[in-house]
Amino acid sequence: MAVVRPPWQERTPGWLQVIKVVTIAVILVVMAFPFVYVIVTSLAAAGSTQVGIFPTAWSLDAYRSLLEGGVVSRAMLVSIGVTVVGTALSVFFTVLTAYGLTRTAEMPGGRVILFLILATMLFSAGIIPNYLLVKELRLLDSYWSLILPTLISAFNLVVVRNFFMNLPDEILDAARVDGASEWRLLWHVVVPLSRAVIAVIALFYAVGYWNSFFNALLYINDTSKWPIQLVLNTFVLQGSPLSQIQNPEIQPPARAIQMAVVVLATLPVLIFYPFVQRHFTKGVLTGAIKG
Amino acid sequence: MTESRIDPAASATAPQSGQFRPSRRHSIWWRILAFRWHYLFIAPGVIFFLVFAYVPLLGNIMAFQDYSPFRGLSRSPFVGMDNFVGIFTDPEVVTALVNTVVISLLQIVFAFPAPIALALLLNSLLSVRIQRLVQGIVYLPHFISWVVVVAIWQEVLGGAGLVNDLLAQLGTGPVALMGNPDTFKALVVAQVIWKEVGWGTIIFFAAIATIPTDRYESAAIDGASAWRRIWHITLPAIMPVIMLLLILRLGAVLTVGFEQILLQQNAVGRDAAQVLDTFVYFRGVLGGDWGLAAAAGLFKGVVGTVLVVLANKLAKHGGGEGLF
Amino acid sequence: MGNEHIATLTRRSVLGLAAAAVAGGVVGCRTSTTGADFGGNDTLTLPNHIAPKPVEGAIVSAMDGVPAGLTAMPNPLPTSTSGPPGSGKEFTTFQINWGSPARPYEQNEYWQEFNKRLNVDYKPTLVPADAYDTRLATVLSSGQIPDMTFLHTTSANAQQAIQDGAFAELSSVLGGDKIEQYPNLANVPTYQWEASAINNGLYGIPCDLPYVNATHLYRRDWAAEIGLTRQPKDADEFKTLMTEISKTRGRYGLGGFSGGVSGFVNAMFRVPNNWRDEGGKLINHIETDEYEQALGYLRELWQGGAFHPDALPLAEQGAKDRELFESGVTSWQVGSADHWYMSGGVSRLRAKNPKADVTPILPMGHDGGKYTFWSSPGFYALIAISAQAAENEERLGEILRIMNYLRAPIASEEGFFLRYGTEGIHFSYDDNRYPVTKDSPAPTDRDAMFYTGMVPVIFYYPDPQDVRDTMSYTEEVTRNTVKDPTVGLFAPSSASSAAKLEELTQDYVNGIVSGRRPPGDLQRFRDDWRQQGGDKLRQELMDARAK
Repeated sequence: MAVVRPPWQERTPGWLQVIKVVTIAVILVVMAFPFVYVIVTSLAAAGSTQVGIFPTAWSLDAYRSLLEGGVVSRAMLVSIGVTVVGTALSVFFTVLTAYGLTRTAEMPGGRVILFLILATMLFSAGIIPNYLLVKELRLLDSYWSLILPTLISAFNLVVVRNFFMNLPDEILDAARVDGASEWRLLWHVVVPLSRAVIAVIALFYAVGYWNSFFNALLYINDTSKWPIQLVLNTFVLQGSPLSQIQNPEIQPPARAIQMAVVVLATLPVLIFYPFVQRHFTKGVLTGAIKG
Repeated sequence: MTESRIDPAASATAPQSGQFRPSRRHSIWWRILAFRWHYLFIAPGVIFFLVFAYVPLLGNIMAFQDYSPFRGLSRSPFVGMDNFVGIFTDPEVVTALVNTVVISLLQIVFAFPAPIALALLLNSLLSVRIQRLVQGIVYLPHFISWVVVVAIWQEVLGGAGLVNDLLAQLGTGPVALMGNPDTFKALVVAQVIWKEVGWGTIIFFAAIATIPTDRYESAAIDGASAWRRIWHITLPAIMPVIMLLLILRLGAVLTVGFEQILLQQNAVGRDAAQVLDTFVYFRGVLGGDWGLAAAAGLFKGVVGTVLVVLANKLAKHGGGEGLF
Repeated sequence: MGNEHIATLTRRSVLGLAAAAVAGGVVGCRTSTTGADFGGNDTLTLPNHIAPKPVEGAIVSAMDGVPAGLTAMPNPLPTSTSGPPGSGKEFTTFQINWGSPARPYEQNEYWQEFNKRLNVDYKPTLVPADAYDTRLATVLSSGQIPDMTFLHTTSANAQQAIQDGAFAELSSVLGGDKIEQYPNLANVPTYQWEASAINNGLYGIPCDLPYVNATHLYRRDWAAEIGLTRQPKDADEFKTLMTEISKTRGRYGLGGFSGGVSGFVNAMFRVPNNWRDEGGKLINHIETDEYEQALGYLRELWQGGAFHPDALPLAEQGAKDRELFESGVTSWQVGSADHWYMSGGVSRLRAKNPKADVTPILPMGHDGGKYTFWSSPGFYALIAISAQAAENEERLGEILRIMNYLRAPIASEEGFFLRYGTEGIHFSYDDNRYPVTKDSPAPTDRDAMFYTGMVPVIFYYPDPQDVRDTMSYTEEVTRNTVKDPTVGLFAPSSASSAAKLEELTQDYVNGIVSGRRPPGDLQRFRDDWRQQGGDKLRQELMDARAK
């Protein structure tokens, strides 16, 4: 692959290049291993045993028995819905609040509000009070119970605010001089300049919604509304067989099923990730800031 | 960047936030009016935090009660500071606190900088495509739950795992890599690095991506080497993010991976692996002592707050921005 | 009947099955600072007992605590109730789901049929076993207690709720002959009512648990390879067998250091079941010489390499531990008969290794003499009724009628449906008319919803010979059981100390057996145990007995 070397980047010495390549190769092997392991295990056939990490007989039965039940595919849909809606709302309100808090030094009450928001990271309310709140808001068994309690993460909020505050003031002031309203300024100047961090927190939120199961465990009684991670959790933690009165000849090994759920639960993230990644891997601001 | 660079407000007669930067010199009402948009912007967020964070926090009253879920806050008896006394007179708490703090400090020293180093390493790669590919692989372990992670580690490093199997074939005895109380804390940190290092790079990548390339260009023209550019451009540019994350991490110093440790506690025993959160789980959730669990949560919160405020002061003192 | 899962709830317990049983005996509540006195009576009128109607094909044991076996399902099935018990109203439950999530009502034939047969609008809260305590606490905090709640009596949260008056005391509606209007409930044996009564009050229907709910299996073929063709007859032979097997690469004598292993070794050394009465004073089993010997023996097993190297983590990974046995890695395993013969444990093993010779193994006295196996208290949990719902007498009657239906024996029209579902949807008959689960999504619904805790235990497997063998094995071990003298006694502090003491015990035992702690730490263990609630528990139990 041809690499276009920017003129300001001189050639790295050979020995350094070797160290880099070796380091990265080792990291890759170590990091990719679990996934290889999970995939390989998920492909074990009924009655197969394990040699090293590989099964002696391969099959897609685990996936077949998972998907035909309808439980897993429905849970995937639930998770996708919650993740998409939740991420959109979370990003919107986080960006809005973060921008509103960029001027805490001058804004009356700003620092107090910021501190009170930060404090929510330090103090937690515990399971029962949260449950009672969701119940009183009549959100039990509603998909909103999976979104609203985690709508804004103070952590993400602070990260976005931090990025916003590091934007060059010249650009904002120039826009202000041009008569742009704060609303316009936020969406037409600040947000486009912050694509990288917004992509990052969108990813954080999306993965957060996708991975969370504890709220669903507490708030969702109707198992047909369970997200995929909760289903995964019952499979993996409880080692639940699909059916208790099993027929060992057709039933894939319990572990194959567990690992197949792991694969299915991670797949959407794998597909989605590259689209987000583009936004934070290289020079978003190049050009935009010059001048 | 809190200080104003241009301040045409001095001559302004009416607050118009679009044209100037109000400062502390103006009257409070004038400033409130000037920031009306900002107040409007934060209103939904403030309502959210009030309802979903502060209302449930009232439940911490149970820290001063012999709380029973069925009786609820209104009918559970108050016991003053008994729950706090109960925590600090429990013989296990000292072990739990020491373990928690040691693991936490090890993580701050080793696990915290790891993603920074990896991000810098990846960033120094020329090809963006390779950068993206590598990053796309190293973040994978983040998506595997601790139950599965622990199972996989056991499969590889456990007493009958692949590594020991290999050692046995070479004729050397088994090495207790996972069930050894002496190395348990190192194991916990290693697992955290392994699981989260790739994911942790994402935020630093975003920070690096906001560095204007012209800074590198002018540095190159001045003849700065690659190392010097990392040291003098990249690192300072991502320093605010690093400081921010570090301060937040300090606030969570009494929180270490609950699930991760609970899953592996049986193998090494409590002396090595009891941490505050597992202690609270056994006493509070399984022992039905919700008041004690709430008391422990408040204690963690107070310690975290003190540390965050101190770290913030220190950061500002050192010329950084701090958190608030 | 899901009794294969019974050990899982106390997964952190070293004593496994035994501990679940034991703590059930000392159900209590922590001393409340309000001094609230929950229910309880001065005397207790126990419900009458009516033996279940005999059915064709059933083997009924003459011994208490041994479930019936069934070699063939009667055809046609007898009915055990008259007409649907419900009035079409909502019926809410809090129950454990051992399986995967059920499908929604519209797709869920089991649920639909359930509602039709019982004439109810069934609204279950299905809780994964792992989240039991958390979910129970949230449900309790909501103040809306379901009509019927699965109360794990070892759970501190459940004990607290009983004390707080969340559940109805039932002796006034079930005592004496009043229970006879609910014939299936009247089948509950008297010893279960006695064992599950708390402070002379009945806070629920006891969930059936055999005195011995375990079948120990071992690899006779591996034993033969090292020259032992008969069952080991004493501790030394068992140790030799286990350590020798481990010398073959890829094989281990024992898998996880689980409660099952401890229970087996306790039986060998005739350790008293939880407590022993020594001249009026209760001595805890950990304070006895027998226990010291048993612990020392476990340590020797460990040092001799009998255990899998990951025995400690495996102790908490029950499914994986069993899988090691089923895939031919370990030589010894304990499980319920249901697990081995109904859920396919043994057939999975044979599918992987057709030549495997797995045979039940009995505990042996360490000196070649008698062994004494710890008896369970005979019940696993209480199925309680919400105090609020019970305020309305008519509603209470309806709930009891529904529970009467839910406790129908499996060899009845009602019980067979509850356990196996509908033919053609959830199961189909094999050549021997055994109901085999269909390879379709529908059985998942059944498996998620059937476990109300009401269904009585029965041995019923595809191979009638397995049923007969399980019966005789269970009878043999039950004959050698020793009872916990404190079953049925009420110790108020147990709720606050049980979890703590269990954790303490596990830590010391793991440490001493695995060599992390010196054997001398037993003394520290005993001291800690006494200080951290053991002595208090002892005093309370002795006071309760004196009453």
